[in-house]
Amino acid sequence: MRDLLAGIVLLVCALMFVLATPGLDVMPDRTLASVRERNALGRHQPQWWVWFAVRAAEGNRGLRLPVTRALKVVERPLGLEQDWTAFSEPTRIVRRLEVAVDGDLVYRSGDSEYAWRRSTLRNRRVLPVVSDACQRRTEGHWLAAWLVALVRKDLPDARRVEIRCTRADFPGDESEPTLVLAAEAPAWQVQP
Amino acid sequence: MTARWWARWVASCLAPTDARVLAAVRIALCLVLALDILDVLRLGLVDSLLGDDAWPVVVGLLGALALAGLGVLPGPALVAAVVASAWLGAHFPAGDRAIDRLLRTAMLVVALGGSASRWSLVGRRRDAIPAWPTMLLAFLVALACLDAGVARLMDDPGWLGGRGEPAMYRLACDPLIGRLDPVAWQHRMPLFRVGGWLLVAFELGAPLLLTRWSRWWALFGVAVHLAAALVTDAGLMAWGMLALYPVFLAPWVLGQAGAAATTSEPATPPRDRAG
Repeated sequence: MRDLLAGIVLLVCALMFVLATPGLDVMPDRTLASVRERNALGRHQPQWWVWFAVRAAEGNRGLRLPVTRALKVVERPLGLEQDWTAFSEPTRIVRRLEVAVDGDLVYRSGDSEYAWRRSTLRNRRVLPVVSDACQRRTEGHWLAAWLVALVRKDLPDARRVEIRCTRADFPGDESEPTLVLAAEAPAWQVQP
Repeated sequence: MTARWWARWVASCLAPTDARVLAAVRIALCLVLALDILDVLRLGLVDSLLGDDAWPVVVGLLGALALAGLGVLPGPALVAAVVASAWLGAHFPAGDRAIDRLLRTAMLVVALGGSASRWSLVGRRRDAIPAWPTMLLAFLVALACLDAGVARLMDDPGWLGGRGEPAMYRLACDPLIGRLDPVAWQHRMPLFRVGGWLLVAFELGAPLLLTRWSRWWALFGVAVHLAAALVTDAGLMAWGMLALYPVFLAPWVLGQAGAAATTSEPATPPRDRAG
């Protein structure tokens, strides 16, 4: 019994390590699969590095990924599918979300002067939605429709809501809009 | 050789360890997760983010966390909390982050590890439990931190660079997640540069959490996570990680507290010598 328990603990540690193998967990399936891709790497990196990277990619494809795919059967129902790249790197671009009601700015990310529903929009479940929309990983329609509903609840006299994402190269620089969605009474249909 | 290694592994998995360590993790985990879901309730986000049908699950999750935190059937309660949390994550995938999944894994380990042995309302008191649950939690934290560091450097080697604006500055002053004013803090670049180096040093050195230096490295980690909580709106990402740190620090803190209690007790009077 003691050996069985210790064996299970060892197996769990090994599986955790396979799932999270540092460096490989962020490597896409087809990395360095083609000769062209390997040659391209060889033009910028020394041969020993190419050899190492190709072996790592092949090991990932042949050994690690089959195990991680098999484990998804257990991971998915319990929501354990781990993204091991937590604490990810912020973008180099300065992006902000802005909400304007009837032409007046009411919210701007990171600006205490325009702080309508700040706690809601900074909630850790909402932040990724804002971030995805402003980085154009999503179209932003769900976020816009949700914000419009919040504005109509808080400011029933509002006639027009505009949601903008802006970008600038450096804080304080002139920013330009990258996404503009608006909705107007009475239809409140979100449109670009 | 292999047999001796295996015997050592079995012995270390089953070595008796202070049951209060796992109990501290159980309570801390339940507390941070309950506060996280209470924040969702406070902001009225259940209907809009999670859906009308999420109410029973949210109430169930809070109930399970309360039971587990109090030590009433913590095993089944934590498993129920994992299932409820996974359900909520599946209903709003955008808000289900890496830290949610990490904490669900940790909850399963705590659920199976006999955490009700101490600091629980119900349950048979045991002062020592086998070490394997705390070993697994320590391994999980070390692996998560190491991976974060490797991914960070692969993503942007600029974390180690000495030129340009430091990555830590961009993180702390990013209007979407950071709390610091980018213009007001742009004259403190050396501070952010050193902060970035320290962060990467902690993450790449995370395997030290599995060695005899674990408590010192864990103190470093506590400082890193507290700094993240202060300068960003990362929320559960920082507090959730901190909830796992009793694994490294509780044995030390409890040991110090025990030693202090022993020395503060009145000394036993010496026995009279016969004759």
